Amino acid sequence: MATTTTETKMLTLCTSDKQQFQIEETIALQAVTIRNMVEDECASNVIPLPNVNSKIMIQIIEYLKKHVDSSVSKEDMEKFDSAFVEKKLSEIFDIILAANYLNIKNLLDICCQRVADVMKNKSPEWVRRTFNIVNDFTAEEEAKIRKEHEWAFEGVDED
Amino acid sequence: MGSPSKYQELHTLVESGKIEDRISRLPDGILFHILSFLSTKYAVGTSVLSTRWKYLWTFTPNLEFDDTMLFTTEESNEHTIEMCFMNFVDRVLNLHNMSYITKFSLNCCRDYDLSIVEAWLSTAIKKNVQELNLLLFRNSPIDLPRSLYTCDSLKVLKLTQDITFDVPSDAHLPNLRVVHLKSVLFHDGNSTQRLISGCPVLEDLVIDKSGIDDIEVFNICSPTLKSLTISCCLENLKDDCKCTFLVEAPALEYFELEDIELNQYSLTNLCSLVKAKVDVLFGGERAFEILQGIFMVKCLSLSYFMVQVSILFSSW
Repeated sequence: MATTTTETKMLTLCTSDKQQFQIEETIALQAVTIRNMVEDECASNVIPLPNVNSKIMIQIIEYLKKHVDSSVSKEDMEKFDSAFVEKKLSEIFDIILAANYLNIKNLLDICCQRVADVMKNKSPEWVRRTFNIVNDFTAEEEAKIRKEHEWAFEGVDED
Repeated sequence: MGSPSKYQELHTLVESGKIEDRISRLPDGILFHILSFLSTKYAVGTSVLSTRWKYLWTFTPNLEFDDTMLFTTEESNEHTIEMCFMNFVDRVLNLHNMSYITKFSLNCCRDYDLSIVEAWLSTAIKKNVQELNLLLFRNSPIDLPRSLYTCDSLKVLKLTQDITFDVPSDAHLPNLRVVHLKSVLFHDGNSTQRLISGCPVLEDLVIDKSGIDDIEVFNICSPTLKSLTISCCLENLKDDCKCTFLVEAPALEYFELEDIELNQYSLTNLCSLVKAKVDVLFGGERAFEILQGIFMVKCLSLSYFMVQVSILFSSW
């Protein structure tokens, strides 16, 4: 394998905290933003990614390395994905922003799905507490919305 | 509604930066995307979270309504529940801010007024729906709006249960690739063929013929079809109800057949077949004919019954 490794084209990604990551081009090109930069030749050997820090980059590279491997079965990939999103919500938000910036569709999808799953079938009070959302409606305004969309609030779990 | 003191407490913590409301600070586009993974009931429920969230749900491209998503125990209130669901769908369709709908799903186990269901479907069609999923339990089957059969934007159509499948001869669905018809009422055996004629890119067809009808011949001739599943699993004791499926699909790569009735199959020109799965509860000439039609296949999965037939077949 040593000979093929030396021939593999590498890219260097530079994160917001000035850390450099050397990864195989095929892995990096799954991110459409990086692919466009390489195709447009507007990037030199080092690709600056000012919107992604090294902590998140490590996780994104882990995801990309798995997804570039065509020998992984569909089932195993789904298992990997569902294990990958088992993270704290704050980390998921960081990955969402990075996946959106780097344009990695499936990664964005699985992370948005993870957030949606947390909100599913939960009362607004529970969602506010979980995500620290401050309710800035007056009691009258809130009552009006609840009345207008009555069915949306029927039978949701309080906790 | 949170009490004022709780609101103040959270407000102070967020203001002071001790805790963060990360989700509300995400760009609109990402929030729309998150909401698109929620059933419409829960997406609309987010409108009450805070003023930031009030109208976000109106930009989600997916609308999914299911009237079984109610967990109220007061059964006496059936009429109120119906009204509540109808008002909800009406309001959502009125407030929805997008010019298109990527996915529209409607699951109804209650017998809503025909004109109301038609109005909902017409709205979805006018909003250039791309994927339409209908599961309707009704006292009598519903006719779909004619405009559905000339809907340019439609890519996926999945119909289940009490729906009459009656395709007009001028059907034209230039982007329709996937059609699943389960337990629908076929108006006549040529409905599927009229659909196929109007679908230049149809690739995936599923026919689950579990409804009772008196169709004698089913025509499925398509130059583009890549995947075909036929399922006839209604135990039908009347012999004269059997029907013949005429399948001609030169591009077909996957064929699945499950039949516990005694239907007849004429499979011709399946020259691209890669994988087939056959599970029928009959032998004799009818089973031989099926095997003859798929003999080119590379990967074949047979039920125990069919294996016995094929052993005989191979010794021929």
